[in-house]
Amino acid sequence: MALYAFKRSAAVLLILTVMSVLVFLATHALPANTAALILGQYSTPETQAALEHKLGLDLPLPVQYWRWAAGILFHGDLGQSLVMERPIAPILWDALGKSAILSVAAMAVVATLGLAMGVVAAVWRGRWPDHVASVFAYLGISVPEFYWGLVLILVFGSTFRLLPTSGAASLSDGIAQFVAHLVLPVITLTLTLLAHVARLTRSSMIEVLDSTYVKVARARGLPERVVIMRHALRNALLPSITVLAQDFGFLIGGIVAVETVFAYPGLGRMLIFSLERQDLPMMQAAILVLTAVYCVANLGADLLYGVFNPRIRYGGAVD
Amino acid sequence: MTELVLLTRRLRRMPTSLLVGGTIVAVLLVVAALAQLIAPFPFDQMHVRDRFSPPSLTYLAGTDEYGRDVFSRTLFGSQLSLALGVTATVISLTIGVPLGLVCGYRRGTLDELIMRSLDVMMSFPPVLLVLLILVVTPPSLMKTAIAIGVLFTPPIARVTRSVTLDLMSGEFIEAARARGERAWYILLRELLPNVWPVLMVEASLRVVFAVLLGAVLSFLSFGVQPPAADWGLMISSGRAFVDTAPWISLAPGLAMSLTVIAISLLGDGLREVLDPRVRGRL
Repeated sequence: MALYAFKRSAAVLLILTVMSVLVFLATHALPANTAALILGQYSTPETQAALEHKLGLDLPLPVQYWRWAAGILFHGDLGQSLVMERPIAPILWDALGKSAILSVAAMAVVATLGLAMGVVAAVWRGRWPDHVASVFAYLGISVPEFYWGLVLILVFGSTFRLLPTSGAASLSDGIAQFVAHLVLPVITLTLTLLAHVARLTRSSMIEVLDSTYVKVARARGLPERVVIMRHALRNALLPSITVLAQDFGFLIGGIVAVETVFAYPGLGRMLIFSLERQDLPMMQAAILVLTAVYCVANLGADLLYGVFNPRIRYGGAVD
Repeated sequence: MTELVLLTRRLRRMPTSLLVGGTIVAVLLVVAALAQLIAPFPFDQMHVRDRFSPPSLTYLAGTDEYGRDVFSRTLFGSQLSLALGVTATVISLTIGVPLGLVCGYRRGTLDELIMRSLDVMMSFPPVLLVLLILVVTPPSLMKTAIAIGVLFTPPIARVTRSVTLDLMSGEFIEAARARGERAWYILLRELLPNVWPVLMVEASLRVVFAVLLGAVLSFLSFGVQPPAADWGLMISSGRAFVDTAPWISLAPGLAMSLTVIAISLLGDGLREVLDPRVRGRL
């Protein structure tokens, strides 16, 4: 297990390095001219050259990469935003925190609801609760997340004026405000992720319910509730847990669109903002941090899988 | 007469999902192909006096902020979405299938090398990877399709490889080798036809994902550019008027969900009929 964990972590480090190089090269291939962006429309080629020299933009690319990477690694310095003219790090950590609140809330809902739906669908297999659950799952994944966001805004925001449809509130605004701003984005994210967990829980639950030891438990005359909750669910949970961890990585893609729809000031919104304004340093920082979170989430999924899968825990190969 | 009876019998034995999904997909394809003929208005014709008019007999799904007919635009949008989905999938198949076949057939170092680099590709957050490609170059439909196609290559290669590995132990491969057939013959004439059924299922899934991802990209304004009648773009531009003219966003959204559900159903049906791993189990 230790060896496995080590291998996986090494792979994550490698991927982050590759991604940082890719991000660096990609942003340098952009048509935007950093010096011209900073100096505005009245700059001359001479002043641009002078600023480029001052910022080190005329150095060879590997040197520039090293300066950028070393700044992040040794000083936690993510550079300066061109558009906002402020250091990126504080803005980014704030946005990351906001996104984390949103994703953790969404994951909590997805986990509870997805498992419950899966179990209900498996227990009443082929009858109406099963059909309702599968229709619900189909609907959730049949449109992109931003469309659900829009429909929710239409229903709860415009028509009934029940919930705020944009922005975020901090805890100091009162707990009610804080939660109210989260409700619609969380429902949107939940709708798109629910199907995966619910379907997987259903199929592993069905497998377990058909197994001998569940039959034995029933034969012993245990109440159905105990059979399902104590015997079946506990074993059916394992695959669902790893899928939940994988979905957390998936969530990061979804969050970009959902934060845009609800104007939620998280990391996804920040990424789109920087892409639209061609703010290179901010773009690099946002992509890098999002990738890191994604990789760590996937690493978590892999390790969890290892913990629950004895073949890996005892040093076997994965295939 | 007997032929008709045979046909209905054969149709009845097919899974419902395949029939329903297949029918809707066929209709959608026809609509997309004939959009120019069916649509009451050109997709970019503006009716300045009828801006934001609600759905009526003239404008079946209302008009948008420029007075363009939303129904016509939604019809035209099916062309873009289906073209994007199919092109992206074809691209990922063209790269992924040969890679998977060769890896499964040759094994060894080459296999290890290719599969590990695909692993690295798959460990990047998908949306970011595509955004990165699209930001660097000016956006266009073809570029979006290529970006998504490249993104979907690793899963296609993986599926192809795993099926090929299964097939390699088959007697027909042994027989072909004993006959002294060349490698390319075994790859193309023995392996490929047997990998195909599973790939059809995977491909239908990929079309769905490509349509959805394409919509997200144009919603974020990094995909198809205005004034194109793209569903994601229409939903995005209707967002500002969702209070007063919700039909601008709702119509393309409904069209998209119909498309996605139909292709998913078709894929599920294909899986039941074609995939030997599922066949008989359901």
